[in-house]
Amino acid sequence: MNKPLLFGLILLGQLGYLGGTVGYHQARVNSGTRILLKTAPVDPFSMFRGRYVALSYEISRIPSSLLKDGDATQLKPGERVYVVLAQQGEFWEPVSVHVQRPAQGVFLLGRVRFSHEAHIQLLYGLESFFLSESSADYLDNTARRAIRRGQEQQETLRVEVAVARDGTGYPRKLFWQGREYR
Amino acid sequence: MAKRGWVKTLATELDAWVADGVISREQGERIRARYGGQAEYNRLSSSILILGAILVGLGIILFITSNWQALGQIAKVGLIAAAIVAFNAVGYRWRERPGASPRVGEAFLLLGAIVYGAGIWLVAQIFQFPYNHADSVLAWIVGILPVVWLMRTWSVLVLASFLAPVWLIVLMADPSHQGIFSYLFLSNPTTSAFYRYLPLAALVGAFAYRERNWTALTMTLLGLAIWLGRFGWVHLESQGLPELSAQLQISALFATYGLALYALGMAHRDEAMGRFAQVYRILALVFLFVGNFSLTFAHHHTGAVGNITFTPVSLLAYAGLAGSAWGVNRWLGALRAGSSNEPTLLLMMIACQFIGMHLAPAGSILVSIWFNLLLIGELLAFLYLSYRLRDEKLFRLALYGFAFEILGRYFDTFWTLLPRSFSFLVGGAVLIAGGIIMERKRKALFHQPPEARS
Repeated sequence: MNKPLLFGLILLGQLGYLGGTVGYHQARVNSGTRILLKTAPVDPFSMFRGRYVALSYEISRIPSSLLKDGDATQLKPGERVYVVLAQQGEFWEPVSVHVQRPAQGVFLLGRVRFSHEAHIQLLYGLESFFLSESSADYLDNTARRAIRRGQEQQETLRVEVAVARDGTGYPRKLFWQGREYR
Repeated sequence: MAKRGWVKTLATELDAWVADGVISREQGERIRARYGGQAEYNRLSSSILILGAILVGLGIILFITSNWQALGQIAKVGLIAAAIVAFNAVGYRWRERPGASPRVGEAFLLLGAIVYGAGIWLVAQIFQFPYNHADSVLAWIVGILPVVWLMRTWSVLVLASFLAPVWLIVLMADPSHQGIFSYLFLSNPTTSAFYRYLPLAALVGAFAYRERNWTALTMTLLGLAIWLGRFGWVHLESQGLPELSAQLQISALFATYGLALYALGMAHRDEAMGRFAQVYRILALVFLFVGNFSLTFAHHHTGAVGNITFTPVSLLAYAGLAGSAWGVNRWLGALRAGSSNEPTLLLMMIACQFIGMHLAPAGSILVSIWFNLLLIGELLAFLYLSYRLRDEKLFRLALYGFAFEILGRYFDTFWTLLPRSFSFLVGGAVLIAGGIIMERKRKALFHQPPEARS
């Protein structure tokens, strides 16, 4: 095999990885169930990926009593759990937590940060939402201040999430005061 | 164009020719100026090109990360893909076309590798996909190593060699990650994540040897040291050993690594291996120091007594010591620049480290006395060896080691007895005086004619 052809194949492999990543995740997003979650922002920056809002969800901290098939004190950091959600009005809220994958219903796959008798702290991979600089600045100036002033009940930051069949969540849209920010 | 390694060899030869009367001192200086200047120019142009490539790469990354809304998702991905293809194609052409500049090609290939890596994170940003840092770094390395293999590009190899320890650190920070690649290796990522680094280090190390690239070799050996630290931590954490015993074992692991590197370095003294022998020697001294220095402080474990326990860590240290001793004997005959005392000194160090590993039952005071004497003895041995091997960098490093050891003993002994300001004044003055004496000695040793040293 000649050198230019081999080099072309290597580049094709690199592009194939990037394209494959897009295709794989986009297919799961398209077939996923859309849910709306309550959240609150903080303000970080990723060197490789730019400005984003780091989000802390209400479902990130769940009462240990919701764990149905295990002992919350035995859960280890990094362990997978499934949080079954049900729609309560506009938003989706946790109903139960399971170590084993549920057979039906809408559930999010989470990873344990830490767990004790009272609460389980979870990560869903939904904690970063990337925005343009202008949107990030605006949200930083308005949403965070409003929440700090205790107005979060009236002006909730919300995220639309696509939930794939295996429970993986993909943040799709971010809303503040009824308007979508990109 | 003169390569740096060739110019260095020429400089050594010139000294010998002048000493043997083949050419005059003036002729030697003129030859040295002619080729030395060209090597400096080559290095400068390479540095400027590589710096330019890094800046352009960062510019592209920041352009995409600004998440400019005028560009749609597909356009952004297209821009990344086009940049990868364009930079690699230009790099390929400049490297392969007869009469073109390989240095420019090198810079563009590096740029292509940087943009590909950035693209992995940018695609996740553009589409708001969940990502995994460990998988992303691994995908970056796996994507660019074939370029290193095919194009023999040193800059992309150095990038990969930096990324490999980064991947290890990311894995260590989050061993429970559930990324795509975790299923390709071992089934239980929580306990075995860090073993995956070894085949990668072997691959990058093999490329470092093929390209004779000492930076890539250094990064690989440093990565292995991080791996050893993690190995020690994981295995000792679960043993519940007395603190003194655990510290003796982890220190033995690093000191053994240092001795093994020195023994390996003995096999690299052929001129074709470039700076490899020096890299091994310098890292050997660094890890011997790292291993032994923490045990020189008696007060860390006042009154503590440990026991002799066999763990995977101590077994690995035994294997390292045995391997080092074998290596010293194996490469004994191959030594040309070394002195006849070199293997004896090395074997003595190996024996003393072995004894030191088993001193936990004797208590902390004896341990600290032993390791102080051992460290001072090893530093003196390295000063002697560096002089015999005409290795000025190693000599300077051993002097720094000595200064650290003296400083450590000084504060360890006098901190509670003297007012702090007084202790700093006296200690500083002693170090400055010692440094001046050592610097004079170093100059006297390394700047005399070669024949005066033999």
